[in-house]
Amino acid sequence: MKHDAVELRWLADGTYWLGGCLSASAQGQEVHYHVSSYLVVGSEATLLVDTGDPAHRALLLAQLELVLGERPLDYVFPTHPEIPHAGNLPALLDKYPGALVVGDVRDYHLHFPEYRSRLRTQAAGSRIDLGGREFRFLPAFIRDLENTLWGHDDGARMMFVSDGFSFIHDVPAAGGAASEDDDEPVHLPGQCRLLSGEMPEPPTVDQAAYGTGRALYWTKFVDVSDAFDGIEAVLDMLPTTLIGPAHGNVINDVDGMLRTSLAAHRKVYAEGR
Amino acid sequence: MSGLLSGRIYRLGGDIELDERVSWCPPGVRRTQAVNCYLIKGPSGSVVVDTGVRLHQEGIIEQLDRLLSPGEPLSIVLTRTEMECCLNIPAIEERFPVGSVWYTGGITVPRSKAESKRIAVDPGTSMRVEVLDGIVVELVSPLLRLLPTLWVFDPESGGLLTSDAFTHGGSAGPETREGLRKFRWFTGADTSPIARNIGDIFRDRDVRAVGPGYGTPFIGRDMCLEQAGELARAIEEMGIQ
Ligand SMILES: [Zn+2]
Ligand SMILES: [Zn+2]
Repeated sequence: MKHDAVELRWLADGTYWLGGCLSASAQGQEVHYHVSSYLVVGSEATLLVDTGDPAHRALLLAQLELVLGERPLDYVFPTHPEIPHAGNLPALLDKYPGALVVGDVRDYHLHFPEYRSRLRTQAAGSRIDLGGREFRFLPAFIRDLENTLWGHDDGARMMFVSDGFSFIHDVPAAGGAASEDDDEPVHLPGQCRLLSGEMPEPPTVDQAAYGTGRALYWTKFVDVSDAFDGIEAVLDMLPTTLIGPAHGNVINDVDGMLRTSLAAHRKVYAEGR
Repeated sequence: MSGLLSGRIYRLGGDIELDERVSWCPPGVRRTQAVNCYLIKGPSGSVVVDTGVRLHQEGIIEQLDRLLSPGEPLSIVLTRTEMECCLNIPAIEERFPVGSVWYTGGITVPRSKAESKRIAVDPGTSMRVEVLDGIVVELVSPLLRLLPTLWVFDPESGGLLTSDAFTHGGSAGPETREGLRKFRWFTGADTSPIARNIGDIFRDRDVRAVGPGYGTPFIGRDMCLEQAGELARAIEEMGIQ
């Protein structure tokens, strides 16, 4: 897989979509896969959601510098300890010596022992005041690793959902070499950094189901309808106009995509049993 | 470092404090726990299965130094692409000649010069692969998983390296359920096929040692079969009835 630089994108006041795309060839066609980070800038403090992949280390540091200028990065929130979400922690902590790692930081002292003094637990429900906006840590309603959290920024009314809500918009041709463990939600070159509403077509339930079943194997065997009740309860409490997945396009049609996603999960479960 | 199966498989790594700072720690438990990776010695090269946590990096490099002859070719096989499996690849690559890194799942792994060998084995099946000249292992894709996972079976010695399964060994009174904390999704699923798959894996192979990614190993045919039976039972009980 090679990595392609893509421009960062301004999403809302003080809210930026950073990171890059990995690209691979699937059935002879070039496809892309977002590995995204989101930067939230308050008047007092700044916070980065997910560190991106080490393949994008230089790109991410340059993007941060472009937005932050002389300001420091104060908080890094890896949603969970996997390479595309936390792999750039050392580079970020070295570059920003005052930055703290926040979230469910269990296990990080085993992976990054030299930074153990910079780990701060932020439990689901806790908040950080960034100045003029508040970042709230949320339970990860749909996740793989146990120490995963989601987040919400009330400034941009944006929810950050890690590996949740990563759809693909094109299902690879039937009979291709895709296997159970090919789990990337892909998009085509030229569709990088598009909002869901800017894609040529919204994903069908079938397309969403294809991505869903691959990204989270276990959801084939578990009915996740309850998780959606939890998500809807949070959305009722915290107004949300944008949803930022780590690997899919940013969602700006929240109601429509929730419906598609729930239907997709139900389809995956019905077929997995 | 200790021999898992003498002369063929060695267990590397070290101990951690198992407490509330560790995501797989059962509630209320405080003790030390081994975190393991393994070395399979072949006639003209060796295979490292997982690379341990970075906390143990120095120790693991020293252990490899003692076991390997200078210039000995290496392959790395990852059972998962999680951090406790892959974060020491760069340090190992820097010191030893690593030809290839075998792994499954979509996530990239932190290797530099070694060839990346991404393979997919459908859950519930297995595949024999010569991961290094002269070393053929069977990569078993278990239904017992959270993320894409491979267990590594070495037919020559009967060693089965089980990644994040069989991880309850090492406490005074080992509770099989304690090793299943990571697989919380089992409580919402029909787990019978997963339990059956454990039985099949042990029925179809002559397993003489089980080497988990954390916790102490289980040695001897009878012990392995007994543990497999208990794990299958615990999985069955955890699921929706
Ligand atoms: Zn991810
Ligand atoms: Zn792209």
